[in-house]
Amino acid sequence: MTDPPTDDQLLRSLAGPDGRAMRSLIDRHGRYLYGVARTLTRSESEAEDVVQETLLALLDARYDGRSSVRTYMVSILVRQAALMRRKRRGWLRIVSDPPERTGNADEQNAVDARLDLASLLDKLSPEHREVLVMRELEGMSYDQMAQALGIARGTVESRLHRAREQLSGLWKRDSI
Amino acid sequence: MNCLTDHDLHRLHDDELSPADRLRVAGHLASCDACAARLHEIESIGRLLRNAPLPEMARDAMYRIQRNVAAMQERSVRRLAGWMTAAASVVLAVSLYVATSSQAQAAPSVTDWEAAAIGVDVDASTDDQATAAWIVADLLQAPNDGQPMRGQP
Repeated sequence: MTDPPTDDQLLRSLAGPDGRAMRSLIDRHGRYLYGVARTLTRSESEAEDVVQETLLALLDARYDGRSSVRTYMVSILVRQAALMRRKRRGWLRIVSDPPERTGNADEQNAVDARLDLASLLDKLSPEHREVLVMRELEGMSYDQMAQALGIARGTVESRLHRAREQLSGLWKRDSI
Repeated sequence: MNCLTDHDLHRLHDDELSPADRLRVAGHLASCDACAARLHEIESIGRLLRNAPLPEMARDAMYRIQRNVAAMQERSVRRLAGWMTAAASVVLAVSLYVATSSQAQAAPSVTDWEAAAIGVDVDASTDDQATAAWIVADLLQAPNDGQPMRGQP
């Protein structure tokens, strides 16, 4: 019996005509990518779009093997979320677009009460959210984050510090 | 004794300190409760984020993502195939053009003795005229059945 292909092997055979490698990658990492996307976006549908765009971007991307495949995909996902956010800013100038809410009031209250990553991070700016996700969930280094976001290492560092301080303040305030 | 900066503490938590700085920071933390408490706060924020559950994916979302990505992947493969077909057509057309034009240029020119043989008025030398007369005379005779022509090796 042969071993299942590694993430690395799947990533390198994405261009195959049958799409099997892509399906396997989605099976392995789709839920995690969606979870991260949902913490960075305003709605479920937007998170789905970001995951889709991330997976499609993989077809043209060049993986250098310096980080895990999952970390690599998350760094692409963070960029895609930032791209979508910029597009949305353009749309929001034209149409007021409240955050998506689903279900009835009781369900919504239950969802709101649940302590999940999205609700914790929702009060931070998108830029602060993305560095926290990259650092705390993926363990990316300052250099890796700077490269993924296309910003200076010093900017990554100061954003990360401010994000932690802000989150710490919010957490203490909500806990009182 | 100077307390540690926020940068020192964040970098320690993020494993971004040089070995020398790590020793310096660790030495200070061993004897300063205030800085140790600040580090603990930074670490607890990290734990909070790592332990919080990620948002769940709706049941049909995975299916939708699989389907949409497969469709877009197929579309991009088709588009690529279309481009390659177009490129192959262009290469073929250019090759044909080059081949036909070079063929036209390479068409054998009529020599003077050939022109003289069919009566075209050319400025043929005496030798050419003699060769033409000999060839014409030879052709007017009976077929030679593959025998070498007279006077030729």
